[in-house]
Amino acid sequence: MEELAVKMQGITKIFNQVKANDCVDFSLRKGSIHGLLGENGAGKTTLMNVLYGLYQQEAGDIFIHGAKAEVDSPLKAISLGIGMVHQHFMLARPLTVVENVMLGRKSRRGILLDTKETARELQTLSDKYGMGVDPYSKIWQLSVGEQQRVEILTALYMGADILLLDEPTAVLTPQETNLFFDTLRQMRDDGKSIVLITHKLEEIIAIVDEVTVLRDGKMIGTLNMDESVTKDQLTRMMVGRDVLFNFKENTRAPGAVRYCLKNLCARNAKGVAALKNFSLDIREGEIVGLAGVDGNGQSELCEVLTGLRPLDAGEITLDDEKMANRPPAYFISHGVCHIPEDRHTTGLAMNWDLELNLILKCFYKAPFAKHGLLCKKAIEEYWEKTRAAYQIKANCGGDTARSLSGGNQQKVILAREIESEPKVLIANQPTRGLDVGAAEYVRQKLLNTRGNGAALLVVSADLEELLQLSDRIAVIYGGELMGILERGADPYQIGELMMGKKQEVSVCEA
Amino acid sequence: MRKNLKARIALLLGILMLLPMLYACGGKTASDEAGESKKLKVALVLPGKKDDVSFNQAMYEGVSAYAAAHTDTVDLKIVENVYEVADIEPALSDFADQGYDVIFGHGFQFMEPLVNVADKFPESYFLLGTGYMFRKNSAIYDVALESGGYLMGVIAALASETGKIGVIGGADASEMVRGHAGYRMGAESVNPNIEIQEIYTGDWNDTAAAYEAAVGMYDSGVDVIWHSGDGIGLGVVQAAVDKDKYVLGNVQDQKSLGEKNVLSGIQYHWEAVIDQIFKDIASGAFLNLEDDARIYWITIANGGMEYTPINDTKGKLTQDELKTIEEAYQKLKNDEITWPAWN
Amino acid sequence: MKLDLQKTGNKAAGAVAMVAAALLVGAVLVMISGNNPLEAYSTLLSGAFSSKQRVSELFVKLVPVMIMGLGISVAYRAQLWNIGAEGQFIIGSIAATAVGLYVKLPPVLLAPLTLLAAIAAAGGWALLAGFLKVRFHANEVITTLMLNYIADYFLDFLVYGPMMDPAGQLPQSAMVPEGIQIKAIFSGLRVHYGLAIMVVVFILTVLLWRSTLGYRINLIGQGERVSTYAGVNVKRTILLTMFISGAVAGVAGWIETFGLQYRIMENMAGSYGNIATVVALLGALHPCGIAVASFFFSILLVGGASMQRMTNVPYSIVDVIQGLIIIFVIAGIVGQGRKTVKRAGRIGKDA
Repeated sequence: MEELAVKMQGITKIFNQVKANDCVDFSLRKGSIHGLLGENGAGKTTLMNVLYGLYQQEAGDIFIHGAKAEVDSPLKAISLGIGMVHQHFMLARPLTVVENVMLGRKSRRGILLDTKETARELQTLSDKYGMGVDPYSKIWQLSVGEQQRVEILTALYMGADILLLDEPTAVLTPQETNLFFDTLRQMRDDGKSIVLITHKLEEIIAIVDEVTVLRDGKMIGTLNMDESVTKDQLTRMMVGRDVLFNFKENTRAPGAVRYCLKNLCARNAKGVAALKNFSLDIREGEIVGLAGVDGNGQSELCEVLTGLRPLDAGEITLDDEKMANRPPAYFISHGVCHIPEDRHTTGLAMNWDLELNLILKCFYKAPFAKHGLLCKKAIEEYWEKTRAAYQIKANCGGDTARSLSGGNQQKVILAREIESEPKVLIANQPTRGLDVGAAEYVRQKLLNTRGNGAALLVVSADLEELLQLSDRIAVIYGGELMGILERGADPYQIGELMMGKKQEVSVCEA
Repeated sequence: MRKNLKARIALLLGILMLLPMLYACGGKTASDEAGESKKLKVALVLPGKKDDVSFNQAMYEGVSAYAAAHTDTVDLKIVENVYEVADIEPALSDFADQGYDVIFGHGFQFMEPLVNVADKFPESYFLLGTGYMFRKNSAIYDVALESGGYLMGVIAALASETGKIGVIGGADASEMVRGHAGYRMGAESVNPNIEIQEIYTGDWNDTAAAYEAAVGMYDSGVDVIWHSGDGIGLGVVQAAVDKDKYVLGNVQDQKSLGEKNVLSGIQYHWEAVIDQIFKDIASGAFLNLEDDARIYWITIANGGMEYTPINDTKGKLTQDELKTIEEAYQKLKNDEITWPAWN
Repeated sequence: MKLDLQKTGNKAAGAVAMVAAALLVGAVLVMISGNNPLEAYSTLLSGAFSSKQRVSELFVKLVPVMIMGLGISVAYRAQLWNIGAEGQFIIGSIAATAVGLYVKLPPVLLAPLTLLAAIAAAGGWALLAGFLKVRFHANEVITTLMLNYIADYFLDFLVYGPMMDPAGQLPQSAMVPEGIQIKAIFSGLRVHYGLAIMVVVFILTVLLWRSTLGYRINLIGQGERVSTYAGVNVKRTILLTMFISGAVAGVAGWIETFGLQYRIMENMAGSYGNIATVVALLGALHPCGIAVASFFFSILLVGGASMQRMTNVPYSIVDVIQGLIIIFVIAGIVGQGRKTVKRAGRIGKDA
């Protein structure tokens, strides 16, 4: 029997009368990589936050290296050798790597800082695992992948031998993911115990030694990963039912060019060029997927295409209509719909009633308004109808958007944007943060919208998703179009374009 | 459900608003009864603090003294700091409404609200501290400042070594103008060649402006200043302290504000007219007063003013000069000075 | 539906709790000042209700407080922290009085013209802050506050200078002609038909929140990004909201001037601006809530003044209660904000 690094027994954690964890057992063998699999809201992060001392469990015990432990704060967890890397990095961006590491602890030189010493030690650690982190670079200069490595490095530096990683690959390109997995394996061979929270089945199969599946806060089971475990098996455990992984091929071929983007140039919020001569045609009945590492101009492109960001140069043509630098209302009234990247600040008024959110773009039109007064009844009816049609799980239209789960929030946005029968739909990260079921639902709706003849631009960090959905995949890097690939392209080729290697073959024009 | 709730809130609101109306109808008898108490209910509404060493304190002491002497017949209520014009009318009418018989509004700014309320409450008597508007059931008490001013002029001219004296007033209201004219007469009666500087700051309460005016005067060689204001007085006295020069006070003994520099000053004694006012009310004469008798003046002659003890810390006044001052005072007391015609 | 009821119920319960806590602390202070708190509060209540006169005064105070509270709430719904109601009130009064005094027209035409002048001037005054916000990103808290001072000193300048009543020596203008004054409802009592205008403003506010314009105003309060995304012209809506908010305060000024004082005078806004702000927040920006809160504050004002007259309890107690309520309201808002942030953080993590 191998030694257990962590043993959690009967963990129960309750939020607002909802059991986020319901009597969950979890064991992490020393020197292993343990996958924690489950849909969003299944309680994976909650369980790990309990282990890291961020939350206190209502019931259950935790044993670290065989000894019972009261983990009542992250400080305690760190002292027990537990380190956690959250999905959202907790780094001070203006500071250097070494300064960030030193933030959390006392200097060994009294009131003086021991920067040099710490930097040297960090360098050693970084070299050991091949992480290539320069202790003196500022956080804001680092790529997302590098920032993640800084987080891990910090945890290791604090003496962690149990590492909790929350969806670490969500922000990485396939190439980066592979590198990252190499690092993980090296750390495992070094005796570290690692928990990998994920909802990506491929990752479980690629790297994990054992996997524990959670669903609705309950532990479904723990499997030893050998060849006999299949994707379908894991899916069933995770979702509780079979999920269709292949969409019905949509036979309808794309039509004429609907949304024509020519030489778009725009700057980001900091005034730095974010789009450089970006050109793309989107045809009716077509989904163009936009691949790229986060922060390479995708968001700015989506904003420009919906009137939310001014254009420095270039032309946007919708059918025959010149759209460049028109106000958002003009885009909306001409059938350009938008599923924004950020549900919380852009897509929804979080503290507002759901039914009001649903009419966000048409509140002034009949039947929702008559003679300038809102028609409560029509709004309520519309909400009820939409709720049923989109299976939105909510008590009533008077609930706030905030009270819904991410998936249901996205459904509200989806319903609003799709029900207005868009000519163009710009969908930025439409399935980010959604569980498998909800993501499937969104994808199916996007395909239906395509079937209705809309021109779609779908931005996603999930290559798998783009490959499934898109008729063509455009790749953006540093605000430039790197290339356009036809359906069935090799993910590795996309990955190379995402890293900034320009397509050698001439871009295939539609 | 939600509509229901709103309806209920609206209902609740309606009831809340109606409630006071009902309450008012019920409460009416109670206040009627209160009005039947045998003691004379007297209210004094002061615009400032009762211990302001000035305008408010003088009246507070005057009325309090009367009430203390008539505890068995007078029930006195004093309220301070009714300065905002918006607060004056409700305060006066609430007292009248609560059955108060005599209500003093102590200050010029009470004039319009006071006559308004007097119209609404003919059963009560109203007294206005300075002003010119009145009704059948209201009258004015005021200070004939010329007699006090005359005396101050005498003192200032005698105490001055430079031959330059000053006088500082607030707004150039008629009583001030008369006071300053008296000051000039008094000063010139002992030194016909005296140079007199005169400034109105234009505001009753602007202490800073008064301070600067006084400093300017002292710097130009003036060595005694009399101030005829209330709020502004503090600024003038402060200037005297800072410049270590003499100052003459007004209204109330202001020695405590500058032990070494307040040479003397006028002390008002409103009791002098308060007695008469209550007598007129008791006899019923009040309602039938002639228009020109509707102003109760305090003068030195009727004991309404005196000068506070000479506090000559610098030794500027000889025994003879002190005698001259006392003589002037006696002359005023006997009403032997002829005043020019005031308009 | 059930949840929604709870939400409203919670807010009301919160407001009641705040008021109760403030009164309790006030009671302790009354005790410290050597008086009996029960007696003080019962004097306060009877001081507001126990005669026609007092009830009339209650409504005299209610009119400006409630109208200004409603006006402020319009801006607050849009997260525009207009604390310039006082200045807008003053500017509205000045404009109305100036028109009333210097424009020679028959009363039938002059009266509405004075109202329009008040609306335009006060709305414009608030619009100034809106413009500074939209154009230069100037914080409206600062600008509206500063505009209060300017309005205050401008009023002083006028009543001590060009508009001073030639017949008197007090810092006030001449009276507006009797034909355009707002009449008292009952003879002998000060309460006037401005009360009816208050009811109209109340109804208009209720309607505003049911209108598409109200939807827009509420929406920009939910965030600039989501509003822009919804196709709303945020800048224009900010300007319009500030104008409405200021104009309503101007109406209050017009009523106060034409219904009560018949002239402008130094310090005429008193503490109405501050009280209206508290009332708007205590009433949770809901017209009914504001009505109840205004009523409560009118009781405090009128009852507090008579309490001071009739007992030895100083009026400062009323100021203390008012101050405590402000603190509680703000603490409540901050606390709510923190809770929301916390919850958002959790949802973010679980998502």
